[in-house]
Amino acid sequence: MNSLKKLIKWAIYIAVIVLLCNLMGALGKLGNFPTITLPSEPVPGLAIGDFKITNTLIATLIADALLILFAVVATRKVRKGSPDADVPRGSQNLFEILMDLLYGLSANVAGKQAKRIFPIMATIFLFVLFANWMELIPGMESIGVLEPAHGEIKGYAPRELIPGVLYTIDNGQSVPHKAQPEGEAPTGEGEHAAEGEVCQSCAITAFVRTATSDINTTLALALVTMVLVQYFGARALGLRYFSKFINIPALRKGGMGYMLFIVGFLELISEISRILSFTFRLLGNIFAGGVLLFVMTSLIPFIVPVPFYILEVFVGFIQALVFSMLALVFINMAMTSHDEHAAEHH
Amino acid sequence: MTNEGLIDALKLLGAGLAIGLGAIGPGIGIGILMQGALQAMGRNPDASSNIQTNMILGVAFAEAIAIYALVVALILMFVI
Repeated sequence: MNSLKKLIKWAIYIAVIVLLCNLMGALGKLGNFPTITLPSEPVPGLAIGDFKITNTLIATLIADALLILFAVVATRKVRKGSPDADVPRGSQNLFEILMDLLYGLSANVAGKQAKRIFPIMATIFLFVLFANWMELIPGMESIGVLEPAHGEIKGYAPRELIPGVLYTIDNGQSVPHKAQPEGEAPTGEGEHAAEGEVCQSCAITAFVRTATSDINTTLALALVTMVLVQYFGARALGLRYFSKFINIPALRKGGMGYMLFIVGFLELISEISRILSFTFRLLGNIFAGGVLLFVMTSLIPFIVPVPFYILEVFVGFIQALVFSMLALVFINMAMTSHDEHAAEHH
Repeated sequence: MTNEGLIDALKLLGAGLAIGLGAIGPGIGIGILMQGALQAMGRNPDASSNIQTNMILGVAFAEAIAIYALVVALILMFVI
């Protein structure tokens, strides 16, 4: 009898939610389909001379600030030297768990060299983790400025929520914007809103956008990582490290050496392809996750996006882990000389 | 049929084909990977956590290929 009551209760909940969705859909007040662009947009009004500040730059700065804040708060007791720090609580506990996990991973993979590689690996992990998880904060990519739509972006008519202050776009009315002839500046006549006036054919430019959904951020991370790999390799092995790519010693031995020389060039190409693979793995996962959340939320704003949020939490964590673990593995491989490498396999 | 309409239609078609065909390979690849990982975990339950770490790494590599296809589809739809 009890389970029947529970069943009826749940059926009523679901029926109410479905009714709400239908009602709001009929009134046209369901979630708006947002403006999806792959490149990041400069936030209007925020510029230092000619240097435009984009919304992903703001997100990167916020992620940095959060990281530093977290580190300061978590190690406050340890830095003061108080005996309280031996029993960690709160954020110090969380930090210690994270460091334990990451150092365990590094020691597992790198063995003796873990102490040198661990700082860079943990920094990459924490930064990418914070930048990925910031995507899930409400208001992240939805609060912004109404701007005239240009290029490939569809424009919609603006709709007032609070007159004069808060606007949104009305997905029901798509307003085509005049096509720009090539070479004309985007702020040409008739496209730019006059002072104080709202645009005719609008799109929303968010204030803050996920840092890693911009190819610039991921490309920068990938470049820095690969340059660090070369640096660590050169520091550990000296200039012999570069004979991995241009294998002159093997060429002198002759015979099989010619093959090894060609293999050196293949190694060089594979280093470059690693940069691309780092970039696109992180970018694709996070950007596509963002688009998925947008679409799901704009279709049914209640309950249904929750599994996708859980997926995004998981994906953000896994991508941070994979980026940092790959950095760890590549640096470790660069630091082990060829003979040690061969000895490991036997 | 105008030129503009044709280009738009082909863009969408291209995007659909890119991600559709591009996801076949990684899907099969991840399946084979999981087969190996689960068999290994079944034979040697003590090494479970070691196998799991390497499995996650392998899945991320295989999934990256599908993500490249997705990026091509997104570029077709939103950039070009």
